[in-house]
Amino acid sequence: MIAENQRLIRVRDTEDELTCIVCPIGCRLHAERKDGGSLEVTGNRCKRGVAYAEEEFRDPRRPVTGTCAVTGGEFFRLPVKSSEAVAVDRIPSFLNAMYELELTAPIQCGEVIATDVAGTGIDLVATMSMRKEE
Amino acid sequence: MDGEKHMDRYNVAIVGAGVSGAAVARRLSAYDIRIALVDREADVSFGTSKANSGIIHGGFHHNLRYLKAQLEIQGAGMYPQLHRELGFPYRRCGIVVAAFTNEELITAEHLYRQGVENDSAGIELCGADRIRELEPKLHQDVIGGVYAPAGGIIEPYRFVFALVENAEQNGLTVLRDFEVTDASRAGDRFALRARDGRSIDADFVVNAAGLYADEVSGIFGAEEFAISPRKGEYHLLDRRTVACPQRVVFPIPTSVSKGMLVIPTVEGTVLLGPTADPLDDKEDLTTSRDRLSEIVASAQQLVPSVSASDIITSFSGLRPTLPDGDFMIRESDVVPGLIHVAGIQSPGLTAAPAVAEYVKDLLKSAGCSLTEKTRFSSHLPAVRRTRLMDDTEIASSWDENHDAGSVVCRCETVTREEIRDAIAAGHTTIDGIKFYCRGSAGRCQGAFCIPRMLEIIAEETGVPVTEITKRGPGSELVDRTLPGTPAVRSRRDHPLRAGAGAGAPRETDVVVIGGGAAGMAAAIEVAARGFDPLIVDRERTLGGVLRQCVHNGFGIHEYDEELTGPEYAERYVAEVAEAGIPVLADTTVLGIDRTDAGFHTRLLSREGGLEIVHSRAIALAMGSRERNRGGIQIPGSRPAGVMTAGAAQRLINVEGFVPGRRAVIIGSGDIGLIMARRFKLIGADVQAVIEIQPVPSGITRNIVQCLDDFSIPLYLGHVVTAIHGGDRVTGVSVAPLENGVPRTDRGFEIDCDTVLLSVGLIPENELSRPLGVELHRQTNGPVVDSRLMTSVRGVFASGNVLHIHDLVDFVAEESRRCGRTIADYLQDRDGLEEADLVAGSNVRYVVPGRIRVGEENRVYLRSMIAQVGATVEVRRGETVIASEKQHHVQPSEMITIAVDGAPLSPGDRVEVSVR
Ligand SMILES: Cc1cc2nc3c(=O)[nH]c(=O)nc-3n(C[C@H](O)[C@H](O)[C@H](O)COP(=O)(O)OP(=O)(O)OC[C@H]3O[C@@H](n4cnc5c(N)ncnc54)[C@H](O)[C@@H]3O)c2cc1C
Ligand code: SF4
Repeated sequence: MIAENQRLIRVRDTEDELTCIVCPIGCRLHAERKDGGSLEVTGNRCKRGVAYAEEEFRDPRRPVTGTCAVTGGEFFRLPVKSSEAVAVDRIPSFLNAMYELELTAPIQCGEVIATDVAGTGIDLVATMSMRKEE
Repeated sequence: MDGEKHMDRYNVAIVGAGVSGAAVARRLSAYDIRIALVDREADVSFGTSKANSGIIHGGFHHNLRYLKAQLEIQGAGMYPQLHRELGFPYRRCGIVVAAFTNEELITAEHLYRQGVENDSAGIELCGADRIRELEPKLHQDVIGGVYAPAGGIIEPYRFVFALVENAEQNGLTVLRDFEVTDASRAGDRFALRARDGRSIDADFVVNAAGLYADEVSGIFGAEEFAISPRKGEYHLLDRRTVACPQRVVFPIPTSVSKGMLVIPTVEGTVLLGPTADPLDDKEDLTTSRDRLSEIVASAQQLVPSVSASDIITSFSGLRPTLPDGDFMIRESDVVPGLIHVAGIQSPGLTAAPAVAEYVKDLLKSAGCSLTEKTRFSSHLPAVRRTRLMDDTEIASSWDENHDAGSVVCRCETVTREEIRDAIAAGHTTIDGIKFYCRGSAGRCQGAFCIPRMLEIIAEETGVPVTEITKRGPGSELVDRTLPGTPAVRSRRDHPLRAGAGAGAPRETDVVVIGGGAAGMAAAIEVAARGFDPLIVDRERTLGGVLRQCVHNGFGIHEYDEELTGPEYAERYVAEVAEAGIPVLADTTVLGIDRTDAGFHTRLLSREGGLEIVHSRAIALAMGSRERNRGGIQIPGSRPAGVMTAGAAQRLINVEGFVPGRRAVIIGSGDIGLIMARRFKLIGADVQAVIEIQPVPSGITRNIVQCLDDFSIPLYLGHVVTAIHGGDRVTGVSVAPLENGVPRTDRGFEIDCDTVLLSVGLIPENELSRPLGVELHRQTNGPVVDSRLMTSVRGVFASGNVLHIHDLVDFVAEESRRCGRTIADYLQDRDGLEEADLVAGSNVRYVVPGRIRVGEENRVYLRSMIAQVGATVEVRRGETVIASEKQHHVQPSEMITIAVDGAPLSPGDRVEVSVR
């Protein structure tokens, strides 16, 4: 459903503007990779901003949430989430694998419904219980 | 049907199922002839007859030398009987025309004399006192005018529906989506062909095609004439407005139009308008910013209490006009057997019954043989209306069919059974159903019920949801379903109430209305203190809006981890179950009445029908609803594809329905931002987010992870100046804002098929109001004291129904406290010593409005300013009582602080400010 060659979520390589979200102040950061490989960050009010930028450049990850098809339950969609944050360039394949699943009720909230989704080593977990429809 | 070969034969074919065509059809259905009524639209009354003022005129506006004036008088006189027979909404409320100057008084006198000449029953020329006695809402500068008691109001589409339904009972055939594109004469018969290849033939044809009567005449090779559209724009005001007059209020007319009016509709809402602008385009149903503000201004001249904040929607209609301004009703000179009913502008509605008589006579003299049916049934059973029923009627309606207990549209209390009635009567589009039973016609304009209506239509008709339309092909509401989710739905008897056992208790300590985070948290605390709460919720599962918020970011404060909405809800559901708290899901609260000992809460559900629970206290926890298009008044057309972000969220996450492919999001509220990301994650696109303010209203994290991540442009300080599209949205116009004015010269267009509105939430206090609960002007929630008790003793409120919170953790915290104070109240431990708490500088509001002396209090406030490093200060006069440093403040983030009541005395006035 999602084109896998396309970059759904942007990744940063050499230089970029970004907003720190570690605290509500939301400093506008400028980050630039220097020749030696180190990242130069400006605009941060505290050190946490630097760490944030470094992570965003090195290995950006996002938790993935969504819904899966389910039959035999009181609803047609089951809310799910990734067991941990997924590397952003793997998110399209992760989502496609998620959309291919066809689950059957009953399902318990917290139940692992798929493991190692799209080869990421990350699982998919139900975030709602769904009773079987009598 | 293989059209060509298999032709259906009729004596009379009527082209156009507006009020004229429908009235003719119903009149002719009294005779022993075969009649077909065809229309190009997906339902009857979808042309001019759906969008007009709905007035039965008083017979004084026109001179009798016009055909339209003669038919107006006759037609108006026929309404009382038609109303008795067909039961459509009609009220003979009378009309007043208000004059402000001596010159206008002269015109008023002229209207009066014309009315007398025309035999307008009871018409009166009034002085200032008399006219204001007749209509107290009038402006005080009114110096006199005319009163026509015979005038009245109807619901125009309901009238057309009733005419058609009754005619169908008497044998009429209705062909919808039948656009006549070709006609020929074979011998003495006409053959009519539709665009899709279907065809019928008939001895006589009535051309009642409204705006297209000229084109239909051309198709038959009959005379040439030109119908020009004249647009009328309207605002519709909520039923709650204080501006609702008792009678239709007209200004003094000008030479071209009757002017803009204030009209009390039969349904209790108020219409303002119409404008009168000549056009070329017969499909142009857009509204414009300038005209819409003109309407408000001129309505306020007549009725000063009219307020733009009561607008729930705006729309326009087109009057089909001929150059001489009169109706043209006659047999064609060129094509015998073809009867024109053309130029039916105002007063077409009033005249319709008389037009039908007139056409019947024309047909007769044209040679159509009309013998009366021996069995004509003139009466239509009344349409079910839960909102207007008393308790016995509701109960017996439910006894007949339990679907009458399942409330779908909560603003208008429309049940599943009423929607089924509409479908059974042939209305299968969202608009058709809305016109028939008012489902989605209320102040939320369908945000809650359209997803349910889609599901019901799919289940009842077997049509895939992707083919269900707002008003005909091209206006589909669902683009596709998510993988694995069926588009065809079958009727499943949804599992009924969750929780322990069925049946409402007769009595309990507290009825908690709403089973979202607030309701559950309050109930848990009440139960923990040994009292009995009962949770009632209209949804099938507890959790409220959390249920559809499948993204993560909930519970950071309370659980110190990031949960998704459903997970957060699940924890509370588990606590509720553990405490053994009874829950009535799928149950709507119709109302709350005060009694000597407490309250009677009236419940309606599919499983239990109408039930009444008595309790000593009430906890209001109904949450909020989204502000919609009416609330922010975006001009343009009214295509399918415009919805609130929360409605889209529900469609996608709960139903698995994808509403479109490319969205523009108006407003940068958090729900809109979350939906921008959701659109991307389901393989759809988001073109832009448009925010009128210079700063985003959602939190920074959402701006970053929902927009920046996906490179979605955010236009700050921009407004959407128009929405485009006929059947479905095709794009929006956007312009930067300069000094509060949109600079259209620097504007641009964005293509899209979906517009999502994320422009704020409003506490949902529909039940609180009639109970007498006082509401706060800033928060739109109840005014509460330190116990979170409202102005009505025993009624408490917490969560979004009280004021809009951005974090569910705060909702839960506030509601748990609410549960505890309810328990105190039930224990009669409520001898209270309180000080008043008010918003001081830079504070938009503070909740609660009173705090407790001698105890620790928790208060919530919103800053009016955004800045890094601020101090929240609580003072009594010059004395600082509490002061708390904040890292960062901004209007979109709620602040909560503790205030120690020890230094206070009862009656003190304490002020909170942000520095
Ligand atoms: C702004 C406004 C305010 C008004 N206020 C009032 C009022 O207060 N009181 C009053 O008495 N009157 C009022 N009127 C006038 C009244 O609404 C109209 O006169 C009346 O509704 C016209 O009905 P109709 O059946 O003639 O036309 P329509 O309702 O337009 O019906 C014509 C039908 O023909 C169909 N059709 C067209 N071409 C074809 C084709 N080729 N094949 C098949 N079907 C076709 C159309 O789809 C349409 O459904 C107002 C009108 C407007 C616009
Ligand atoms: S850099 Fe520090 S102060 Fe600035 S937003 Fe990030 S965490 Fe907050």
